[in-house]
Amino acid sequence: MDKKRNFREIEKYPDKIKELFDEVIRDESLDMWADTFDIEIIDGEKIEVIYHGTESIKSFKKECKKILASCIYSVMGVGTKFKISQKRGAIVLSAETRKNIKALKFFVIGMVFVCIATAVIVVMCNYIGNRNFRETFYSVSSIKVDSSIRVIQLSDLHGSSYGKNNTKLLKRVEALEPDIIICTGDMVDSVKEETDYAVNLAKGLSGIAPTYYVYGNNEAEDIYDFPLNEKELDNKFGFNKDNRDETALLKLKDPYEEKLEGAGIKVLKNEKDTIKVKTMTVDVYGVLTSNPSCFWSYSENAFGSYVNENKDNFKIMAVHEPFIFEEFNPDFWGDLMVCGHTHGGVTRVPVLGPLFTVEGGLFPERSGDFVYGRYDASGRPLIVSSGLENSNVFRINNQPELVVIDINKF
Amino acid sequence: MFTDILQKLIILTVGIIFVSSAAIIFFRQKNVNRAERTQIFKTAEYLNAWIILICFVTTIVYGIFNHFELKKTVHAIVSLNYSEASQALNSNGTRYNMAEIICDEVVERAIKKGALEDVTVKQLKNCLVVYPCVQGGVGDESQYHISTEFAVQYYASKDTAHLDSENVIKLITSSYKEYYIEKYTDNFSLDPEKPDFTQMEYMDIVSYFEKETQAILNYLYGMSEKNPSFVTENGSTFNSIAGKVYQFKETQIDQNLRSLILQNGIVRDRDEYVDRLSYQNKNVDFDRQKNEASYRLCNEAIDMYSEEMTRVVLVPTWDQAGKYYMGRTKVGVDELSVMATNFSNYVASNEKEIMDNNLVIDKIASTGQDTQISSVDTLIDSIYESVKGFEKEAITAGREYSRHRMNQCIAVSIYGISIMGELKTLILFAAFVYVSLVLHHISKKFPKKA
Repeated sequence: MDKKRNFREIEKYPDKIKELFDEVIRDESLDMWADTFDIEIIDGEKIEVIYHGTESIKSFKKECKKILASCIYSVMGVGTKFKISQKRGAIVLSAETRKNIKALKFFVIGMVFVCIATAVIVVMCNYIGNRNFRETFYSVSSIKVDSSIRVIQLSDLHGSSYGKNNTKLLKRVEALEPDIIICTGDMVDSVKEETDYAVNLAKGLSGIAPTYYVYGNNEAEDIYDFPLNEKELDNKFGFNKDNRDETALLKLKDPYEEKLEGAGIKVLKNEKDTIKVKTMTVDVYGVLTSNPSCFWSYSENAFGSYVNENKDNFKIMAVHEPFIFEEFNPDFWGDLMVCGHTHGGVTRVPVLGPLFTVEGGLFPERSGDFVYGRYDASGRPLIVSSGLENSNVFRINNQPELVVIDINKF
Repeated sequence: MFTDILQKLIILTVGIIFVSSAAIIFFRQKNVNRAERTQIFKTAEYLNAWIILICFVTTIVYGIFNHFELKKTVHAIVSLNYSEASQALNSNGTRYNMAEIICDEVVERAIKKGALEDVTVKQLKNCLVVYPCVQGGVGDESQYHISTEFAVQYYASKDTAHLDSENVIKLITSSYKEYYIEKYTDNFSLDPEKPDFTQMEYMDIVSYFEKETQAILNYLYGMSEKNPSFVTENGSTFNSIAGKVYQFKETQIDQNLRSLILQNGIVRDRDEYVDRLSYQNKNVDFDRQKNEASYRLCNEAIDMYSEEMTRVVLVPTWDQAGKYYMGRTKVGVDELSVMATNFSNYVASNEKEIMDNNLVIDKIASTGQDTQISSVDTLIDSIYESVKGFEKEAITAGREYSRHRMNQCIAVSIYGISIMGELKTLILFAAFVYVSLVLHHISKKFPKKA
């Protein structure tokens, strides 16, 4: 071999070797080995074949070493030294492994597809299921009643409809023959835009049984134009802790209340109403300032008179949000408390429970929040409704509910 | 029904694959030698993507059907908490009958309470089963068991498939509780209607109050007999309340009100009331004459009784402790003497009533001025309020005692779908499908011929 071959000539050797190799393998049906290696010339005289194919280097050597040698010799002269090495870091997979990888890919894609399909089916089924509401029955006992009293609670409708003008809902409420109906707020999203909706519903309900309505955060903020908490209330009326007047808020004009009461239902704003049910007397107290910051400062007297007067009466406390029950622990709230607001945590995960509330974050029940169902508040039953709103697609495993509470003497 | 069929169809399909594959392997194994057979099992693709995917999909589909199927079945445990339950008795001492949990009346109540549509009592009842949670034996005494817990199981049928199973069982159990309370427990209620005293004669008002207070006293004495030491939340006992009521009756009603009315001869319609009392006296006098005649007749019969027939007859008998004694039997003359005494008492009572009425008539006739009417009306109102107060106090005490004794009467726990149970079923099913598919895959590798 002429050691003084010029540099330009040497530079062309790898390509020439490859061209020659490609021709030979085409003739011998070994196409699979084409473009599986690079050639480097070391010190102008030695050849290094760097294999980077997917087959093992052993197979490559077995099949191609002789062909490569003849190609190299024909280009660079017989006896040229060469070695075959594998590219560093290259992963070499066997045919079986590649087949398994392909199967795995297929499997993973299949699984992902099945999971997505299942999720879509679940969401769709839930959405369709949520077009209808279920009835949840609770049984409560009290020494104060002689015979059964039935209370029906509607909560968090947010303007949803069950049948035209809620006829389906009203029909069921009527069929269940309640003694008292309580709406625990957020029946509409916007008081100004949905007054007719609320009035129609109120008319329907008041024709069935005595009906009470407690404002939720949606109604209250829409009517008063500010959130009902202690700071905002103090600012609004210029009060401080020494001169607060509980009745100031109640004196504000409320056309929504007028319309509802015109439809035959009673709006309870930090006040109680007493009615006779069969031979029993029942006090229903509705909370307007349900934010814990202003509950005592803006309704202590009203609440006190409800609790302390006529202690033999069966006492029901209706409030939109359950936060006061989480925050405070007086001796007595009432014989039965009903509330809503939480939407039952929107999605209910089997075993783990409610998924999310705005105030409690993820899995709020685990941190002791009252989210859905029956709880104990100062030794008496507290029912938190998941509400009747039905337009949320994320409301999964949590069908809208109509709460039916039967009160018995034992 | 539809889900039931599909669920069974899935299980059947997988079962057929399992059985046929196993059969193929069994019959074709003779076509290969031991080494080949081992080779087939060794080289089988146990993690074949298709197998796993089909297994996953089938399990999901089965899981959905299974979930709907499980939703049809709910059961509840009804626990009897009152003390008599351990003797298989109702709280009023009658024999307990678990079949009442799903009797027609309870089921009918449940349908009405839940406003359940398109279902009859018979259809719903056919879906319900009740049985004791722990069942004893009849072999020997050690096997006897009185269950105080009963399971009620509901399985939805084609006719009741549209109903929410959990609600149905809740309604059945709460209706049973209501039924039980109405039928077997103490019932207390206040008479809510105040009588129109302006339409009643004053002496009738006195009688009304006496009757009311006596009813309260009877109730309190009855309760006191059941548990004399029971103390209410405000520290009273039945006897202490009864003492107050008795004293009130004696002083306010009998002494104050009655005396005030009689002393002043207060009456709404003098003539009519006098006529009424006179007519009453005539009736009572008629009774008195009858009783007097009967009394005389009894005495005559006793005189006529032969002395030989009055001998004492002693009969050997034994008392409750099992000890013998000689009992004296009654003879005819004993019965006659008892009757004579009774008639004599009746006569005395009739005479007293006539005298009382005459006294009232005399008083009304002699005074005749109603100057004290307003003070009597005030007293009547105040007595009425007090009587109602006692009634309320007695009923509250009774309710407290009843609640204490009944210990919530009946407790109900409802058991619906268990997520863990469903998961277990799904895991078992997935394993079954996987084994079937792998067997099927392996069976294809066995040659048909040797």
